[in-house]
Amino acid sequence: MNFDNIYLEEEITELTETKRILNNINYQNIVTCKNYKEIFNPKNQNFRIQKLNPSIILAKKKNNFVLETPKNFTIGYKKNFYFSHMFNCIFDCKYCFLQGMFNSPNFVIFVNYYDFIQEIKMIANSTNEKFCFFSGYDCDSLALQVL
Amino acid sequence: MIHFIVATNFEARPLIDFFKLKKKIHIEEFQIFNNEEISLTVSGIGKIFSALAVAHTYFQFGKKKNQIWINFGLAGHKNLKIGKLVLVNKIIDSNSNFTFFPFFHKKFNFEKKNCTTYDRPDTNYNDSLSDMEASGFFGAASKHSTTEFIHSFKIISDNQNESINFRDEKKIYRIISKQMKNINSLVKEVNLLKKKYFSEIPHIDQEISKIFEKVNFTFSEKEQFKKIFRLHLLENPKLESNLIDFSCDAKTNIKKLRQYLKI
Repeated sequence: MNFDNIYLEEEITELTETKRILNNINYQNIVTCKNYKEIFNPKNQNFRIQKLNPSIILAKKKNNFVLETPKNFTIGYKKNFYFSHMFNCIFDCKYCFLQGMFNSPNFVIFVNYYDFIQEIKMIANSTNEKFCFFSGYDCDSLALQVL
Repeated sequence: MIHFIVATNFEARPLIDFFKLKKKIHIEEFQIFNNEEISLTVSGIGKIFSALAVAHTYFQFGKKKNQIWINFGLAGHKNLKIGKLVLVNKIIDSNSNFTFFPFFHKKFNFEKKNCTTYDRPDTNYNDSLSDMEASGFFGAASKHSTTEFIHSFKIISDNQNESINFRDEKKIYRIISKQMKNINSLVKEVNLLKKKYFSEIPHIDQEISKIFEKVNFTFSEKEQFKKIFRLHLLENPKLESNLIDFSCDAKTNIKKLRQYLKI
């Protein structure tokens, strides 16, 4: 995959996961930032223009790894959870809610996926009830599986 | 419109000549040069003056949102060659640590670097460009335009081995002139993007106010009508003569327009 810019949180530059992902991408520049929100959240951005040349932002998620879904959001289980280990999608499908959900079309990848796994395990071990996890709610997990 | 904010007269002169800009003589606060498409404001050195120049230019040219803003000037770097054109992909304010991240289109195929804005001239060269305006410029321009249209282009004036004489107007003119074609092509690219995504519908407000004079609208009807009418003009730049019936009331006209647009 080719990208002009990779934005990288200063805190994660030395992590093995970061280096592994960087090895799988062709890029021209690495730009460091303190927090991915500096690039992802500002309001005065144009989603459509930036979609012409999106960048990857590698970041570390600090909290709220797994969240409970609203009550009616279910496919048959009583308890349901969802998590987003990435934001946005490489595709640009007209029907998809991701075309406009965020201010920026850049792809955020949280490299600390082990923290997500740990929290999923913790929830799974906390009870004998059956419940459902929805993966990659704000992204297309399969599209960036190569990374 | 494309607004250049440049710190000094020496840096501004090659751009004024290249774009054939003329001085606006009735303005005292800043020197402003312009033609129909481009303006150039000489801000003076420092981030505060740069921010002020952005605000002043914004008001001078009719407070139009989402225009193109370009900060152009000389900058120092540890080892880049003097005369090299560099695009800024991250601006750091050395004092407040605020950061800004400009966006670049794929066609911007020039070297990109961080730029640190200092309050005083800095000769501790590192891998970041050093200047004295970019953070003030970007912070102010962000209030008036979308990030994709705000850029900072720098030409290397000094590095750890050599420096130009900043009082040598001819030398500055020469090194900037050599890059004018590149600067012009970058500006054209941004302008193309702007035209594609922010095309202005001519006389839209005039058309709307003409209709409001002839048909009585309540406040909420006016707001509804403006939204639908803009949608209509996006697809048809000219208003169809039978679409608005001045003998009918506002509600009927809004309904008619909705039916026509199938919304």
